[in-house]
Amino acid sequence: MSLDLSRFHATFFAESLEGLNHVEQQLLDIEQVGHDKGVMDAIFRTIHSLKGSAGSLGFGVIAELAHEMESVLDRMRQGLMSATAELTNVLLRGVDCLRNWLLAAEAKEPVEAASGVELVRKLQLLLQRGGGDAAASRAVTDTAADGGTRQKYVIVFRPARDFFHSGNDPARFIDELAQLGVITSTADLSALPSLDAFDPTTCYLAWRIALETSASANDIRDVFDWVSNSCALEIEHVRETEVRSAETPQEEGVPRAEAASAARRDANLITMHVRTDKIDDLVNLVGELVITHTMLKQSMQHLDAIKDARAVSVFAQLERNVQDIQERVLAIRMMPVSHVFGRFPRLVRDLGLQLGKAIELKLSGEQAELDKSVIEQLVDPLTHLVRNALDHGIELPAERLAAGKSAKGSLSLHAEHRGGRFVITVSDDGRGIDAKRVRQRALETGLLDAATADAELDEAATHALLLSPGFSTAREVSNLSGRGVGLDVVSQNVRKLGGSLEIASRLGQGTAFTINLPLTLAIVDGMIVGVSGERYIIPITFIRECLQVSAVQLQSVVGQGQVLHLRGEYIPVLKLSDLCALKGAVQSTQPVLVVLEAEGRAIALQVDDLLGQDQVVIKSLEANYRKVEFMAGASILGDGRVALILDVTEIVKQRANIRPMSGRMLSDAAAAPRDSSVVAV
Amino acid sequence: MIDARTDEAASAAPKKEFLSFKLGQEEYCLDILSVQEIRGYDTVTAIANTPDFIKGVINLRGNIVPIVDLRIKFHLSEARYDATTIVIILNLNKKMIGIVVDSVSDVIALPVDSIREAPRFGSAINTEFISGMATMDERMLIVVDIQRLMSSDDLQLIEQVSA
Repeated sequence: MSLDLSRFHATFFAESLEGLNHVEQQLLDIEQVGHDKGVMDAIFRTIHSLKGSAGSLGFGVIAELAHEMESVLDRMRQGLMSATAELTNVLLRGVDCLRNWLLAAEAKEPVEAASGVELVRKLQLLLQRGGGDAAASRAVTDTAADGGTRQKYVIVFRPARDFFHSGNDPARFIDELAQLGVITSTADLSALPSLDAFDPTTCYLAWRIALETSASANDIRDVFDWVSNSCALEIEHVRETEVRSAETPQEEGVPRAEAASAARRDANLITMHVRTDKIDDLVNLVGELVITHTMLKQSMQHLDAIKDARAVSVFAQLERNVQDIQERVLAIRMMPVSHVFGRFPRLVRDLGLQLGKAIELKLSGEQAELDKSVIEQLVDPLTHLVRNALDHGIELPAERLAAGKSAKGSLSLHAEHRGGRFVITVSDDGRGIDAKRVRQRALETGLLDAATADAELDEAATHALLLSPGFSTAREVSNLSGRGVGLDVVSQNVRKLGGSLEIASRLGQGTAFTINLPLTLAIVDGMIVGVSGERYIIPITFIRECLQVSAVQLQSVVGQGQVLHLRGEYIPVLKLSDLCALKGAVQSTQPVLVVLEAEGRAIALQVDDLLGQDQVVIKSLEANYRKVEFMAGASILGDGRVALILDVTEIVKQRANIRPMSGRMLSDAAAAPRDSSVVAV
Repeated sequence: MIDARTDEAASAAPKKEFLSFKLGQEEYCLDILSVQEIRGYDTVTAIANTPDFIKGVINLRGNIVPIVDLRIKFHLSEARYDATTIVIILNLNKKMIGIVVDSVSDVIALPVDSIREAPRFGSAINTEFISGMATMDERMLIVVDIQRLMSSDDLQLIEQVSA
């Protein structure tokens, strides 16, 4: 059989994995909306063609499981079996299993067949019964687990030549393997040189070890974990009939390597896998390029538009190119948010079943794109919010009916770009946040003292309590959420990404969590301000407006400094030079107020000068130093010097709630202050 | 890390290289392997609410690097900043830190066994951060454990408890 099948592999893996994702989605749909001939046919076709391709490409295990699934699906398609929760569960697990196998095969790793044996049996059983009695199937599963667990593996252990140099002894690892089960080991002497060329400190041997064990491939891998960098290791799971062929590996070895590289070549035509750190390097370099460009721009300011027309136009060209490169490079890291959203239909279904709640999940805006690094760090917070909504938010069907709602709860995830920010909302139509319970819980956990609790807490303060560490209102600690590591962790994670978490809730009607994020963590549009000879950068997204101090009315509040009265709103004024403890402050003759807004609160920052607006590359202060209070990071300005980037969210949090804002002192004003919250921290 | 090198050195030449520098009247030296480069003092960007010996941060080829003035830290000499002020950029566990010293003398190879245990007191730098003393051509050199010094609490270079 000299036909090289491996060139089809790349396509097979890509198509099958995509197909499985569809099947997963469709199975969930079927469960939701009931039997649909068209959808059922589509699922059947996908699994059927997967079975066919897997079989012809030599992935026997995959084909076998797909075959069993297909048989069941065929009966379902004909309406002979209905999509019970149990059946859907088994099929979904089948999809998981197929997916794992495909991924393993794609990575040229040994397929772990053991997990499929149980599924195949279960499917066969379901087929015999035509779906039904759950107890019987469980019994069969149990016996299957007891009887069929001893597996055969062939392990090829090829230590690196300098294996002894690190003080390792190959025999020790073989001994350790022997503890897992029965081993038969043969040494491969083919690499041994003649005696005169023999170096006693070099390891020339390799071993082929047949192991019969109840341990998994991972357990075997663990044995070699310690030396994984200094040996080549192949672990192959052998099915009884294949043992013979696996024992003659030399003939197969070479063509297999060729096949692998061919598959890789093929895949290259469609997409290219690039290591993330290479892209990160590129992003860093582009950052440098942007800085250099800004430096050049500053040194070219004196050029005359007519005399130096050529230089000016060439520079304009360069400017466009730099901008294009920056956009494209950042776009490489942009991924649709569906990468995170995609995992939720399944999660919601499984959790819903577990909790006995009926839930409809609505996803929207999944195509909106976000920086990969942000997306990755969103998985945990979002998963937590979804679990939280299912666990605490949405009520049991009976409770919902009693409250006059439909029995089925609704959970929606929505993503969108909003003014240079990325906003994700997780909202449910559940019971909402009960302020009374929150207060009581806060008293119990000591987050709140009795005196404060007696005072009426407004919404913002209640929500602030929810985000405090150690707070959880779950009556019992469940394994879903409510381990006390709750919303505070979510809020922290979001803040680490430069974002914020907002809660809106109405008792009995539902809760919405809104995550507000920057599009990218790499570059920000910044306003450069000067104060006392130092320069700071304020991210533009937080700036509401800029005003000349002379043109506006500042009012002094006794003992509390100044407030700005702006269109019926009282905004506390903060001098940046005070915030940054700058000495020798030269009073500017024409100070400027920059009105900043974050988390629904405003503050006016007094600076000496506005120096300009630029895209700045965010550099971490923590890389070589530490987190600096009120600073989100640093950047390098056109002249090569460092300027710190203000963390507006932190500043507003710390300073916008100073007493003049509390409203009562100024309550005679026509318009009440926008913000009157006393934030419990 | 030091042990590994000492072992190596023992089999070959039992010497280790140090960079010597002056702080006031005292001459110190530190492991040359932790030195990335030596440069002149450039304008730094000050950081609010930090001790006065943390001068601020500089841009070192795109990296934001904090600068510590050891002269101020150890109350040694008048901290002047001019064309001859020297900054030693250290690379410790992939973190870059610049230290300001009075002057850099030279690179010296010290036989490992010539480094004696430090006396209990007698130098401006706390003995906790001193790994030993050595003599070289009649000069007395204090060998600083720079890694330890830079990660000590009172320098506040590294966040103590991160959330």
